[in-house]
Formats: sequence, structure tokens, C-alpha cells
Amino acid sequence: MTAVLAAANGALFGVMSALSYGVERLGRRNVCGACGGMFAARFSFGVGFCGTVLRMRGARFPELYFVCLAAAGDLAREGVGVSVSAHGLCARTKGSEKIKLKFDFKKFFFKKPKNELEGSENGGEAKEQAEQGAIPEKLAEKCEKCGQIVLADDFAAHFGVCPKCGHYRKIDARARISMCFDEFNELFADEESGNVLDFPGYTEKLAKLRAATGEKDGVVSGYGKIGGIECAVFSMDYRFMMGSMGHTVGEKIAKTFEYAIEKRLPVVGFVLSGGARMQEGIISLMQMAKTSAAVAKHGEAGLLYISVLTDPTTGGVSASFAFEADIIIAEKGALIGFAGPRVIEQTIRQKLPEGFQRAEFIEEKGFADLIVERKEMKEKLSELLALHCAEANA
Amino acid sequence: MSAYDIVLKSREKGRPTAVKYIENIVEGFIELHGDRRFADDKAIIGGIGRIGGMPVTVIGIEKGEDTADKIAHNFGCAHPEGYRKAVRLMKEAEKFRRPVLCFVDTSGAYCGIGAEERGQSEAIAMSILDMIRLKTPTLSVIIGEGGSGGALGLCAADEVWITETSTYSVISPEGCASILWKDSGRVADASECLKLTAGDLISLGAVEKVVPEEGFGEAFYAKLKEDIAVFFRKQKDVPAERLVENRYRRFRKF
Repeated sequence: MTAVLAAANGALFGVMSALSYGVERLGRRNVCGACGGMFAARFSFGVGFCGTVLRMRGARFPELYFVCLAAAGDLAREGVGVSVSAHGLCARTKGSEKIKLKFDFKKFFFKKPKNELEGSENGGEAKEQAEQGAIPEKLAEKCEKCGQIVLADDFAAHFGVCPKCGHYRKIDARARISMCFDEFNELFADEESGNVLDFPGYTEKLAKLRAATGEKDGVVSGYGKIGGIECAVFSMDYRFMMGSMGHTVGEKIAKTFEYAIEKRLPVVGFVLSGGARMQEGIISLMQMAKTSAAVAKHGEAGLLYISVLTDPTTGGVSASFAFEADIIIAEKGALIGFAGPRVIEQTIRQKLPEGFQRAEFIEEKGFADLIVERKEMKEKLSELLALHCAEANA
Repeated sequence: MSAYDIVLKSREKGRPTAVKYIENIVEGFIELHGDRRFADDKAIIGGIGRIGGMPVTVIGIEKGEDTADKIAHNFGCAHPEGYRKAVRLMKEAEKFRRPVLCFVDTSGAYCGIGAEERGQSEAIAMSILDMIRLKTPTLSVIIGEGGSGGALGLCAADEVWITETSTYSVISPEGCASILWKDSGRVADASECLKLTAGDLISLGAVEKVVPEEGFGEAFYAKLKEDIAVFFRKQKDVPAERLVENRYRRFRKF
């Protein structure tokens, strides 16, 4: 088995070298969109290649794919078989799923590709496509923190925590909900708003993000069950301008609390936000007051609100519903604070100490009830809910 | 006047600060200090006095007048204890159904190590939450800069008024330009885009009334005092639950 892999790796090296030649000819299109690894003439294995399958940018090779390979040995150790076929390059994952990669040698070697600057018939379109999702499949990923190669499946199995260094990756709103909820029904999914202040460039930005994420804005809300207890939930999404709060986010969160008041449900809120969305100006500031008012009303109705502060929770969101909960959970390692560390460093003109504004610091200073690891979040939430919602258990 | 001119005007040296307003509008003001938890934050001053004979709790974010005074008041950038003091005074006012008047003038809440250690976020969040549910009439007047969460902490009121050349914004135009366009030179553009002037704020419904400044003369204070007294007299007849519900609606509409 090892011998086969070694042979495959050897063959791969040859093809990848050829590819790197091609990539170089394509001018500046030589950076892996996932790990930032460079394909260059001085190409060698082991530097920053992450296993992502990439589509070649540019219109000339709409069907040309190549694999951004982590140190081939690394992948082999993880049990990824790699083989080369006559048409080009094939990589096989641990399971049976096979990604077929077409590689047209004839086209590749005998036609001169045009680069972006030379302009091609539909180069612009292809570029757009490439930017919006040129990565059809991932075999393995590089951990942003330790730089080690981790199989994508492994990341998923560990709830987005690097199995090698324990780094917490950001996870999107729906993944977060499905990680903790046994049952989930979405509410207010159609809620969306436009460019309220006609802020330059904001309409385009919204459209682009909506297309890229499939979400209308930075929060998903609804109701569901954790450990058999029904509760309303909202979960913020880092992919949408780092969960910044504009009208839609504020409205959906306020509506979640109002729904919970009507149905007499506790609210669990997964908070992730860089703060207010400045493109919505004063309207975004008003969302802080609006959501706070809804939290207060929910609280006065004698209902429980648990906020889970994840990385990052800062700015206007931290100064409103994030810190207004009955129970405040901080996810391990999360950055939580009013001003971002860079702003503080600029203001006080000194370097901040290690661990400043991290979950552990917040707990030590008395502003979080408890720190919970991601893998234990569901269990902790269901225990806390059960303690508050006695009738649900009776 | 362009939006940026107004931004500059709102920060102008010599512009009356909260203390001036209190001197001219509030009779027999007695200052009350401290949050009873950590310290007395001089960036926020508070106390009780009378307006047209009616006892009123007054809270103001004070920037300071000359340099020494500015340093003493931390340039109007409050720490968590400032907001906690404000909440304490508001709760005391609520107990005796005394109206609460806030003068707001800050570039924002303070960003620093101590502020973070003592929970700036939590302090502002609870200030908004408690103020928005307060069972007594409240009014906030923005008299210079209404900077972001630091201002909102004292603006969750029945009505928010603003003087002609004041601003109210989610972020400073400088911050906006440098974050969004990586170009701090585009402050004027950012000022325009953020819609932070009194006129814009009225049309967006973020403030109820623009107070003409008339060179901050005697007539200005007299008129403002009269308007405040009339407003509170009207609000005092509204049942507490109604006040809270109206306030909920005021903010819910955004």
C-alpha cells in the first residue's frame, strides 16, 4: 500500500510540475484561493498547499482543475490515495468519493492562454465565477492557527475545532444551530432590507454576499428543541460582514424575542458580531436600542435568555443584547469586548497583554457566567434550560 | 453647511458643554457622585435640580472646557462606572417618579484597558436596557457629538432632541473612512454618507426635534428650558406603563 502511494506521489510530482508551468503561464493566477499557497516556477511540495481542488481562473480553461496539494506525505498519512489518469489528475479521498479532474493536455500545451490583462471574450464573467466559488470540493484544509493539514472530514467531526492544535474555527449560523439543536424550524426567513441610507457600494456588497452565502443577511432565527426543551433561537453568521448588525439583523432578533414572549419560550442566542453595520448609519445604532427593548420585555415576562458569545463579540452588539442575558456563556477562546484590540492599542499606544479580551479574561473579570467548549455546548445548554424550565421536564 | 462642516462645528472649541447647559437651565443643581461599585466617573455628571420648579434628575456627558478640565473629564469619554452611575441615578429618579433629562456630548465611550476590564459593553448594554424600561419620563438632548454606543447609552429616552449643529452617528466619520475605504482623508465623504446631521436624523425619525442654536445666547437657554418643562409636564400625565410601551414603539419602528 505504501509503495503504491509512493509511486502515485512520484507520478504526481511530474504532473504537478507541468501544471505549475501552466499556472505560471497564466500570469498572476497562481494563488490558491483557500490557503494562499503559491504555484510558481519554483514549485515544490510542502509549502502551503492545502488540498483544495481549484478551478483554473480565466475563460480559456473553464474545465481545468488542479489540486492544491498539501505535502503529499501528509495526505498519504491521512489515508488519501492519489492517482494520476491519462486525462489528467485524480485525487481520491478516504471514502469512495472520487473527484474527476479533467485536464486537456492538447489545449493546455498548444494554445496560448490569454490573461486577464489581455482580455478575453468572457474573461470578466469567468473571473466573477472564480471569485464566487471556484472551489468545488475540499479534501483537506490547512488550520489557520497551526498551519497543519487536516482532513475536511476531521474538521467537521470536531465541530470545526482543529484536532491538532485545538484552534476554534468560525462556523456559520446554520452549522451552529444544527450542532446544538435536535430540531429546528426557521422563522422570518424572508426578512431582508436594502440600502436604507443609499450608502455607496452597499447595495452591490449585499447582493454579492447574498449570492455567495445563500443567506439574506447575517442572522438565522427560528425555534427548535435542545434536549427536548423547546426554545427560540437566533444565530449570527460571520460570513455576512462578520455578523454586523443592520436593520435585518436587528429586526430578526427583535422578532425572535417577540415570538418567544408570545409562545412563552426561552431564547438561546448565538452571538457573533464585529458590531454595528456602519453602512446603515444611525439605523444600525437604533438596532441596539430595539433589540435591548425586546430583550427587556422578554425578561419582564419572566422568561429565560441565554446568550452564547462566540468569536468575535464586539462593538454595538456586545453593548446591547449580547450582555443583557440571564446567563452569559462565553465560548472557549472567543474575543469578547467593547472596542476591538487594534482600536484600544491605537488609543492607549501600547501593546495589549496576551489573552486580553478572551473568554477566560471576561470570566475572570466577572462578565461571563461560564466558559463552555464547543463540543460541550449542546449538553451545557440543555442542562441550563432544564434547570430553568421545570415544567418542560415534569 | 456641509455635513463635514457640521461635524467640525459639533466639536468646536468653546462650544457649550453639559455643565453650561445645567448652569443655565437647571435651578439649584446638586451633584451626586459615584456608581457605588467602583468610582466616580467625571466624564458623566449627574444630580438633581429643578426646571420650572419641577424636580428633575439631570445627567450629562461632560467634555470639559479648558485643557485641564478636559483631562479631568476624560474628554467626555465615559468609563463603565459612568454609565453605572447614570443608571443608579435614573433608578433613583424612577423611585420618586421624577423625570430624567440627559445631555449627550461624547465622541464615544472610552476604549482602554480599564474600561474593558470593568465591562464597558455590559455597562452600556444595561444602561440602554434599564433606560428603555424606565417608569418615568425621559428626554435626551444631544448638544455636540452623539458618538455611537457611548451616546446611545443615555439616549434610550421618550424623545431625543438635537441642537442644530450637533451630530448623532454610529461611528465617527474618521473611523468610517479608514475602515471602509482605508483612507482617513475621505472624512468629508463619510460625513455625508453617514447621514448624521440634524436634518437627516429628523427625516430618519431618529430624533424628534431640532433645537435652533441662536449663537447659544440667553434666549437659546430660556427657550430650551421652557420646551423641556412643557415636555415633562405633558409626559408626567402619561401612566408609567404607557410611557414604557410608547418608548418600546419608538425604538421598535427602526
